[in-house]
Amino acid sequence: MHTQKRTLFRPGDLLFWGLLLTLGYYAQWVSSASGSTPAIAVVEIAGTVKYQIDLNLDRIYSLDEFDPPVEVTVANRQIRISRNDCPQRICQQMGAISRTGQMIVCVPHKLLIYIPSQHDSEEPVQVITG
Amino acid sequence: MIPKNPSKLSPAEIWEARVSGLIVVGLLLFIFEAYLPRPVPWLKFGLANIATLIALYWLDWKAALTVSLFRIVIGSFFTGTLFTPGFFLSLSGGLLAVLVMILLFRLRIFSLLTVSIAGALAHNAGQLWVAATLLFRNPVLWYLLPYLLLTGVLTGVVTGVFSFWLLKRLEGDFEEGEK
Repeated sequence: MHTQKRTLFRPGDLLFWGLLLTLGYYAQWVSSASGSTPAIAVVEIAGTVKYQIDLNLDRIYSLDEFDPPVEVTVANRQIRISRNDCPQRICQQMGAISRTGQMIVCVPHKLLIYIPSQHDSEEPVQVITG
Repeated sequence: MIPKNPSKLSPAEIWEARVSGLIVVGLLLFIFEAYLPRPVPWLKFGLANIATLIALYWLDWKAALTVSLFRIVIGSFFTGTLFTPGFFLSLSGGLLAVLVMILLFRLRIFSLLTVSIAGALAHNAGQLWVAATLLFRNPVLWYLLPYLLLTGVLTGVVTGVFSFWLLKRLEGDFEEGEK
C-alpha cells in the first residue's frame, strides 16, 4: 500500500492554480463584451425566445405561460422578476439586471431573462412594447 | 479516537457502516445548508461535499461515488425536487465533481485543498453545461462562468479546510492509503 502524507499544499497545486488563472483570464475576456447600455431584454422559456422587452418603457408584464403567471417589472431601464411562485424564489432574490451579459435564471420554470450584447443576436430585433 | 474494530465486523461491513454514516452526514449538511442565509442568492457552499471528500480520503473512491449519488437522490426526495430540472442540475454537477475529485486524488500530486476546489469548480461547470446545453439551450449562460469560477474557489476552500480538519480528528495522526 502506497501512503502519502496529507497536507494543505503539494507541488502539483501550482499546476492547478496556473491552469485556473488561465481559465479565469479567458472567462473574463469572453464576458468582457458585457457592460454596454442595452435597449432590450430577452425572455426565453424552455430554450425558445418568447418576448423581447423594451427597457426604456417602465411597466409590469405578466407571463401567462405560467400558472400562476410570472410577473416581470421594468423600471429605470432595469428588469426584474417581481412575482414568481417557484419553490425557492432565487430568481426574485437575484434582483434587477440592467447591463448586457447579465441574466436572471429560474430553473423550475426553465425561464431565462437576459440582456443580449450585439453579437448574441444576428437577427433583427422585434421589440414588444405594449 | 474511533475504535478500529470494536465488534469484530468484517472489512466490508465496516465499509458499509462508514459509507452509510457519511451519506447521513451529507444529507444533514445538505438540509442544514438549505436553511442557511445566503450572501448571494445562487451561492451555495456545498457543505455536503465534505462528506464526499471524507469518503474519498478516509475510505476509497467507490465510497465517494456512493455517498455523492445517494446524497443527491435522497436529498432531492426530501426537498421535493426529485426529477425536476433542479435535480438534474444537482446530479450533473455532483457527478462531475466526484469524478474530477477521484481523478485528481488518484494522480497523487494535488493537496486535499486543491482536490476540494477542483470538485467545487467541476460542480459549477457541470451544472452550467447542463443548463446551457440541455435545460435552457442558450450559450448566453456561459457569461456566468467567471462568477461561478470565483464562487467555486471560495466554496472549495471552505469545504476543503473543514474536511482537512475533520479528517485529522477522524484518524488522529493520519496517513492516506490507496486501496
